[in-house]
Amino acid sequence: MSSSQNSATNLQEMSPITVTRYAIINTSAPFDRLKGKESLDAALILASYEMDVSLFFIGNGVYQTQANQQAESIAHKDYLATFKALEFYDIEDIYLCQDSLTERGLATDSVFDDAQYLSAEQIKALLPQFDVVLTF
Amino acid sequence: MSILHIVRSNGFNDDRLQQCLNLLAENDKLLLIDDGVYNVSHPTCASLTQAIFAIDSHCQARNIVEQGNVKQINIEEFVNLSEHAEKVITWQ
Amino acid sequence: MAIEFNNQQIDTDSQGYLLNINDWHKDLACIIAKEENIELTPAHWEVVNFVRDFYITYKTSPAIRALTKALKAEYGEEKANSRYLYRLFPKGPAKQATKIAGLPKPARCI
Repeated sequence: MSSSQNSATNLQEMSPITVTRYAIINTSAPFDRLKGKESLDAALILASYEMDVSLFFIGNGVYQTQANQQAESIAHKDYLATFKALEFYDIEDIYLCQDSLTERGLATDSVFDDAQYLSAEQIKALLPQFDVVLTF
Repeated sequence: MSILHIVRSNGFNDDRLQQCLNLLAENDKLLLIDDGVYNVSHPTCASLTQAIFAIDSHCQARNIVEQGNVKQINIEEFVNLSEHAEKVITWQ
Repeated sequence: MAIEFNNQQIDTDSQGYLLNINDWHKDLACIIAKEENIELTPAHWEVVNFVRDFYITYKTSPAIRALTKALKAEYGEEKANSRYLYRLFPKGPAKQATKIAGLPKPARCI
């Protein structure tokens, strides 16, 4: 993008709207402080401003993706229910760490219909393509 | 083309250090700040081939002395390091 | 703040959004709508019921973009464009429809 050779590229560079690619990495279990909820809020805010958001779940973060959790039984807001609405915010790239699932004795499964299950090595290889990486 | 990873917690206390190391690429750099400076003597850091830095004042506060593969830097050098990184990931 | 309804005080935040979604009633919706200078028609109710169902399912009030996208999936293009929605809710469909539906203000409201 740094050297423009044709007018199409110039136009793109002059465009007032720059879409930044965000990777949001979840590393915390669902009720570990407010990390998961804060992460989700950040993702929805960025997506509302038409930023490109991808979600990663690694380490204890994979616990957030498991079905049938009942947050309300410990008087906690059930923010995990909002995962099902991510498609309405155009958040479609969701990556789970297969190694983390396996380590924790969890099946290759989640509440997401279209999640991609990647090894830590594959996730590492994806990170350079993002402009901003946030961890929660 | 390198990412600066910042770890600010003790690897004996939580798994942020481990999460970071799992995604640390060959040319990336690791910076230890706050309680993260305790990781200079964490076994997983000793074997790393990547460049490792720790904030000098944070080390002095905890009486952590210069270790083989960890370079102690001041805040100004920290700013420099982040400016030259392609991006910064803080593991918190 | 509070709204007087059926001889009861219903608590709201400073902007008039209900603090407890379970306090909501369709007659209360009409009172809130009146405050917003909106006369509720069946077209309004369609959207109000939709955002309430959205909240109950997904535990979040939809911001405008998510609202239009979700409406499109349910009712098709004609009722999911923002011009149609702004005609119904001139001060912002997501803000006003969620208020009338007794939900918290969308945190990401634009």
